[in-house]
Amino acid sequence: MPEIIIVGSGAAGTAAALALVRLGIFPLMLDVGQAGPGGSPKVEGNLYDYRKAHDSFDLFIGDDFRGVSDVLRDEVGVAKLNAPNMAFITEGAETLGPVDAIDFDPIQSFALGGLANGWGAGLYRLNDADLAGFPIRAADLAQHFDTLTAEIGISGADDDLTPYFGDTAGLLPPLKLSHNAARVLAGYRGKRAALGRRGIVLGRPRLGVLSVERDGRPACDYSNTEFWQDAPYLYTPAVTLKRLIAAGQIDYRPGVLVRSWAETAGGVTVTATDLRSGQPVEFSGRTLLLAAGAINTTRIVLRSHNDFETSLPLLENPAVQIPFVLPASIGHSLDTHAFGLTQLNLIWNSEAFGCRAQGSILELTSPMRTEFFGRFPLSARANLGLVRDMLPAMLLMQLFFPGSAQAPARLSLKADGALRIQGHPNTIDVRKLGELLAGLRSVGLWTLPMLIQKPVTGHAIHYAGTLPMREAPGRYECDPSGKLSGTGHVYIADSACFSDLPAKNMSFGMMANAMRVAEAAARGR
Amino acid sequence: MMRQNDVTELVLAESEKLYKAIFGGDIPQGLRKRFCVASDLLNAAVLPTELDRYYRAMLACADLEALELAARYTHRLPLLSRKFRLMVYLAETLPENQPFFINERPGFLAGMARSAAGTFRTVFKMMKGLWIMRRVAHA
Repeated sequence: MPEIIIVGSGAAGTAAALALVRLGIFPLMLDVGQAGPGGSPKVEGNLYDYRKAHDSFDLFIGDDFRGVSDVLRDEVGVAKLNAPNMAFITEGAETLGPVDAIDFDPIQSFALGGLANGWGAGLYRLNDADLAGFPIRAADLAQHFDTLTAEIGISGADDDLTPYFGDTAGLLPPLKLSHNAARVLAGYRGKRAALGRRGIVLGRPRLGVLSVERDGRPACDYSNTEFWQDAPYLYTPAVTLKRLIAAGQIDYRPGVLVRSWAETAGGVTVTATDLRSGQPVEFSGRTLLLAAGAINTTRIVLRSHNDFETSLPLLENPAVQIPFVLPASIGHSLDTHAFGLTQLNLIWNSEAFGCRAQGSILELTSPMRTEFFGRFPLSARANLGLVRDMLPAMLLMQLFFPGSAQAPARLSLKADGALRIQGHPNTIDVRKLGELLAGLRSVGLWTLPMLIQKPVTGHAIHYAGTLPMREAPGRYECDPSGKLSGTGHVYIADSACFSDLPAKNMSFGMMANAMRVAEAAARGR
Repeated sequence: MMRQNDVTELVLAESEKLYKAIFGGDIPQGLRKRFCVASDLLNAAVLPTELDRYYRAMLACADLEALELAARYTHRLPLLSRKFRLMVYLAETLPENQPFFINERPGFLAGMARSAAGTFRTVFKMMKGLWIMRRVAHA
């Protein structure tokens, strides 16, 4: 009988497994584990050299026209997940994890490595301000952040954001900035004091992207391919997971969809479906760590309690997307040698919203140019001209607010096994962004309020808080160790156990907490 | 109401008109085939009445760029804007079309001039498009 069973192979499940392996415990990991991409072409070298020399239909669109699914379905999706090489991340999710949602569009993954296969690798230490409302402190996570920093290889800088992003020990040098991002940062340095009075702080991101070669993985080559395929310099938890599997340190069982558990005298029995045969299958262990993602972990918990009545809160970060133009860069040639994702981060201590928001300022050099064609306000041919002349002068900021900025969605289980999620439309009031936009104009970033978009609730893909940790947990809550109340052997290792959801990207905090919970589970077994 | 085999021939003609409206030349053969497949997928999800209205307007119109602009701002014929986006997505995958999308030569003044020209073009196309829409509505 295995000591510990982990359900799920995403960022939390992998981090939990890493913690256990470091303790000499080799867990059983149950996972659906959809395989990575096959058949779609991979770009060797620079994206723009590839585009000039090759028909890129198979890379961008695919024979199933997945790359234009937003147009075909007349909806707004998450563009990166529509790329043919990224399709495996969400493949089969509607069948494997059915959801009946209103005003919430959940994104789920049953892939080996989970949703993190498509992440932007932004990894930020949570501090005590972020953990207000949690029954744990930053000191409880510090050693795990250190372990993960060494495991992953995180690039970043000691700059004005260090008070927010934490210890710089172990960081690799920051990535080279794009032309536009370098211009913005230079402008910020001259306006630092004035922007500080508006509550605005700018600086380098912390990214799981290698700026130097490490452990056989190459440094970032600034090829702009990150949107379209996995990049060896961009860490995903699959890197660690595959290493642990290859070393025989995890008993990894793919093709298994966990349904529920039952506690026994000696531990737990997990009931699952073998997806190859369609037959039920059981696994027994002493302790269970659920890390299937907040939505599916909660599904398993409710099903295990045979509960079709209770509705649980589901937090998400409401967000806005703000396109910016740097007028001085209009007509500039496209920056074809750049890192195609987050260039800079912004912290805004907003009086108008009464909270701290975090922004990621992204380059637009990796997505298809047509992503922006339809968003420009001119005629078709004129819009095409703007794509050529204006896009190279643009950056996009995704500004995230804490989960508390919007009423939580409610999640419950239906008798047919589907989850019901009742959400809310994105209610962020863009009129309150005036102070921020005025400050950013002073560093050369210009926009029009009419161009600001509010993504559908669910598209920040930061889900948390369904089974929150409390000092004195009640039903469907966890104690500070992550143990689910009312159980003796079940722990929640993913963001379902988060007590709150700060504006800061939660991925790194979730991974560190998963390590902490795994260690607690190992002690308590 | 359009018959299914009429629609297939229409999609072929449609691809030529759309490409010419956006890019100004003849549509490459391979792109036409891809657009036809994609357009069929899109059409399958649209109500027959909307499809009919779209094809009648598209066939009758000599200046699709103007019509699309006016339709976009008046929220009529949304299918036309979707077809435009579909064509541009597919066109972007061709290596010979990269100059339409990628600026490799820096030039602030040239870029500003082209953007200004595009704005004037848009004003003219909007006026024309609104006039076309009134004619189509009364046809």
